Amino acid sequence: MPAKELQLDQAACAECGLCVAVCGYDALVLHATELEVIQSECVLCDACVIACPTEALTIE
Amino acid sequence: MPVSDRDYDVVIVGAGPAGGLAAITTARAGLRTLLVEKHAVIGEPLCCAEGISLCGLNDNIPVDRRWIDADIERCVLYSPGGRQLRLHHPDAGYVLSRRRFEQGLVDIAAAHGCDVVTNTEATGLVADDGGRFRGVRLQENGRAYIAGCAVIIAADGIESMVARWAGLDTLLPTDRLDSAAQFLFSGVPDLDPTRMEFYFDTEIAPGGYAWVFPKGEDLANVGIALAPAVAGSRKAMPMLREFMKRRFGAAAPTPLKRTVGGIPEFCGRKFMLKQNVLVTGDAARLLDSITGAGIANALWSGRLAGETAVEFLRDGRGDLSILKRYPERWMAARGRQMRYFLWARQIFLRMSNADLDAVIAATGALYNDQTVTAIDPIDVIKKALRARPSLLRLARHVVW
Ligand SMILES: Cc1cc2nc3c(=O)[nH]c(=O)nc-3n(C[C@H](O)[C@H](O)[C@H](O)COP(=O)(O)OP(=O)(O)OC[C@H]3O[C@@H](n4cnc5c(N)ncnc54)[C@H](O)[C@@H]3O)c2cc1C
Ligand code: SF4
Ligand code: SF4
Repeated sequence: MPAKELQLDQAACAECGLCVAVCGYDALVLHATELEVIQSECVLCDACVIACPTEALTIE
Repeated sequence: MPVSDRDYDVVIVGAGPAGGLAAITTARAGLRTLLVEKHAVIGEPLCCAEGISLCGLNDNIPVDRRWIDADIERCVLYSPGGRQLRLHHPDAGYVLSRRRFEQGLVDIAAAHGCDVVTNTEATGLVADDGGRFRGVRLQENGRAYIAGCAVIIAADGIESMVARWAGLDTLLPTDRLDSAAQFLFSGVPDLDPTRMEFYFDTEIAPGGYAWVFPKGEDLANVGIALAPAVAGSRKAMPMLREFMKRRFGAAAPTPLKRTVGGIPEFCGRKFMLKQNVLVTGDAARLLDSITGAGIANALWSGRLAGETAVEFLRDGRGDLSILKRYPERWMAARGRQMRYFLWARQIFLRMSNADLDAVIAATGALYNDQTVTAIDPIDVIKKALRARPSLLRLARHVVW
């Protein structure tokens, strides 16, 4: 089975920055028009998945 | 890379309310100021319900009527069992157009000589050997450069990276925030253009509340904020859809715009200053923990940060201790209420629907059908607690 990864649904993301504020690993960066996920930094802690208001983030 | 395209006294990152008022303050005092915004359009995308108290705006900046979408005179709080707390306050506040408001602030700053760059993202800070910051790294359409400066004001909102680059651990644990979603609607039925509605119910908005804020004509911001710590796997956007069914039934109006965002809990003064970086507004977590309001605190902290930067550069000859006046003054003005709200939030998060019914019924009996001209929120909370003293037991383990 492939390893799990943080998945971002770009269409659901409203670029609000809440996930960036809860990520303690600097694995998320919010640019002007897109959220960047830096998989190499992500420890799959789930904090951003819990906080995101739109279900744009999942760990699968 | 050039060390600096141009040097400034102050570089401000983020053109929200905090950055806009900081820029007005420093530019008006004659400091060479640069205001940097990563988005192309000031005030967009919106992450706000746009409500502000009269004094929250007027105490900080003379009001331009073009910023106002609605004048608020009434608030109604609904309990789960249908009890009401009706406040009639002729000067309660406004619903802003944040788009016009923020552009208005930036225009004033620019008229005082502030340089404004949009479409430009701050990507890092430059420090000298002594740990003092000497500039901000900027990225504009593939062009990278450094803007040199003596003071940096971080006004970059909830996602603030500037505060982190300065060395502050502004990480928000998920039990210290609200997660919010909102639609802008046209054609809202039963809308009083002067009245805000708030709905409290642990089923509708666990750990938070739902709102309907009028925006002139038949427009309204309709949203909910919930606390992920008590909401479990329930999310703000799907819960907002549920609330719309309850509020509007089958006749739900069509949404014109979607807004989502986060509301951090107040964290004390600890994220307001690091070396010569002054952190303001949401970046410093300066929000009222009960209402989730942050615009007034953003304005207030932006103005005080700007004023302190002026003192530092004019009289201080670079003495870093002058900058400590910024958090001190802000806490002197706002600290008591902010700490009280933080404490009250801990009780609120633990309240049941029966508690909400009892508190809204009791405070309703005191305020309904009366016109009040000044509301002290601390006084309202005290009265609510007196009405249901058993709530105080919920606060027994609160440490702050
Ligand atoms: C759904 C919702 C409803 C709300 N309703 C209300 C309300 O009714 N009343 C109220 O008082 N408060 C409300 N708030 C809170 C309020 O929106 C904030 O407290 C307020 O916007 C904070 O202002 P600010 O200037 O600190 O930050 P922001 O308004 O977030 O501005 C930060 C700015 O910095 C820019 N930026 C960020 N990073 C960079 C970078 N690296 N480079 C360049 N630019 C950058 C951003 O693009 C943005 O323009 C609400 C919040 C939410 C999420
Ligand atoms: S919290 Fe969700 S909606 Fe907000 S920026 Fe992150 S992924 Fe997008
Ligand atoms: S799962 Fe945790 S580490 Fe990964 S991006 Fe989300 S908050 Fe950061």
